[in-house]
Amino acid sequence: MLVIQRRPEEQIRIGDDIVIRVLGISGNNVKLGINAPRAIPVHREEVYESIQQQNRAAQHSPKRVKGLL
Amino acid sequence: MSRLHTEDFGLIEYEENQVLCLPRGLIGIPGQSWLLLTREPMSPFLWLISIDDPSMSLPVARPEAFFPDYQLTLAEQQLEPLQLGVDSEVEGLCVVGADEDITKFRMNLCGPIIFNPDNQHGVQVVNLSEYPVDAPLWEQVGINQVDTSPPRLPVIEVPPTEES
Repeated sequence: MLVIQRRPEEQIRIGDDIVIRVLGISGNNVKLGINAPRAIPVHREEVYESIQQQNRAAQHSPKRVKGLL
Repeated sequence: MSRLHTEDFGLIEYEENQVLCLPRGLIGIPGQSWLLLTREPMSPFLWLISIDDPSMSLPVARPEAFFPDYQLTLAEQQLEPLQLGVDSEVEGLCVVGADEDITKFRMNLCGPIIFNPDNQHGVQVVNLSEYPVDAPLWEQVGINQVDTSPPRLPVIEVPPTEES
């Protein structure tokens, strides 16, 4: 993993068109501003993971609910 | 007419205009071409099956059928893959967490799959109104009160499962 130290208002650029800006820090919270092309979805990791987990669990439904749906 | 051989639903025959296009796949599940199946036209439950990998199928339903006051809050760019027109109305389906016991079914209200019925393009998004990924399905509506209206999307009827 690449580790970069940034201060509030400083930015990181990923590729040509993704820019992440540190907007502010208060206590344990870091506020980030993300500028990315519309085609690139941005998710909070824990939300993304829980949806992914639900999708994958649902995928095994056909055998489990045979005769019910 | 195209044919899809599936283990869970037998042989499915479909027309190209019945294919749903999910350019980004589902979250964590690849595959751009999907079909919507029903085993019982009066059932609120449908199956979304991947044409690219027919072993992949998920039970889905219209969230409004079970949660009449379901709210969808999205940023405009989340719907970019749908190529919506000015007057387009979207149609949503949510993944059902199905169990052997129908009273224990759950619904993922956090990550609905939103479709543009005009071009059948869809995308799974994160609803910015905060909802759980595993809401108990029968929290608001009784089993006989479910609105079984079909979604405004092509649905293919397949034979009911034989009780084993």
